[in-house]
Amino acid sequence: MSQDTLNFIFIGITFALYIGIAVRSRAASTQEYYTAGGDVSPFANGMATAADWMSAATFISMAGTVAISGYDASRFLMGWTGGFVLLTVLMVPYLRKFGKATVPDFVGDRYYSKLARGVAVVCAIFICMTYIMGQMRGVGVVFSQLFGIGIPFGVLIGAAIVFAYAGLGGMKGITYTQVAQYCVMAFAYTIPAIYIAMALTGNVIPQLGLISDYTASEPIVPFLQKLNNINLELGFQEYTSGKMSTINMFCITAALRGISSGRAIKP
Amino acid sequence: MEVDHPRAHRRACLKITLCLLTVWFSISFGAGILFRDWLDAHVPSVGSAPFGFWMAQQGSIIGFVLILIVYAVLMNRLDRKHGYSEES
Repeated sequence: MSQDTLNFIFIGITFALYIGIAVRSRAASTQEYYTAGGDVSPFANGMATAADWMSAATFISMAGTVAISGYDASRFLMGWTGGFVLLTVLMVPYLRKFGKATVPDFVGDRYYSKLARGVAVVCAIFICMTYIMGQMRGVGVVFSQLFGIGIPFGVLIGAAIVFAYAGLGGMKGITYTQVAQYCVMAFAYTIPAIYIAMALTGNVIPQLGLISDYTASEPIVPFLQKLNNINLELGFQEYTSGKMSTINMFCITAALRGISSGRAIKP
Repeated sequence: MEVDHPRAHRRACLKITLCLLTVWFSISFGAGILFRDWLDAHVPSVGSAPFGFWMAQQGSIIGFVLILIVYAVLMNRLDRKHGYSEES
């Protein structure tokens, strides 16, 4: 069987799975549409949020960016994950206790103001648009690579599929398809990482591999030193030393945190 | 003596939030970026990674997870104490 047929089969199965889940968990009421009826377990919800975080950008380019820019890429690591702390501590508990599904609802009721609600809606749309543009572009790139079609067509196909399952299932459908996505992505991420870590450092846990020794060939050196050498040979800066100024790192990390917490506003 | 539940809850809640956000700031912006060079030079390395670098790449993220767990535990306890827990 050719590579293309395999691709089509796998993609077909995945999408059939997502749409199947969406059809099964169709929303019955408005409340259910927005909040999944409140009966999604915290565990499933966590997996859905994680899938949301591991978006197109993470999947396609994050590993490469970190490999090339080393310490400088810490701004992505700390920025995106750090935003979630802000979100969890400052926003989500209140939204939950207030019993509202979306931030504009919450802001409007909390401040007794239609205007505040309007501002929140405009912010939400703005954030969604910028976010979705990047995401859909990513979807388009993936589809165009797989099917050998133009990126615009890839975007259209992706949009149609997302529309099908989001429109049908509401929050419940989205949550459970994201749980499925989480399982697929976590699997796809960890297998190569563990394999590479075992091959290069003899350590099963990649995180520990990074800070231990490179053992694949003589001489045995600390793995980070090996990475530094490789990056230098390829013409990038050393992995452990950044070339970005401290103030730059600080501000970009802060901005990424803002983006990360802003993402929650998307309805 | 009558306890002013809403006020006490609010105050304790703010205290928890501020403490955790201070930790959040110091482990990432502090240790990972602002004092990175100093930490690299003066604090023992983690494995083969200099401490400041390790904080930026792994330590801060592990810290974030711990912060979230601590927040959830503390807030649940606080809610129960003041009668705001979701079961009641």
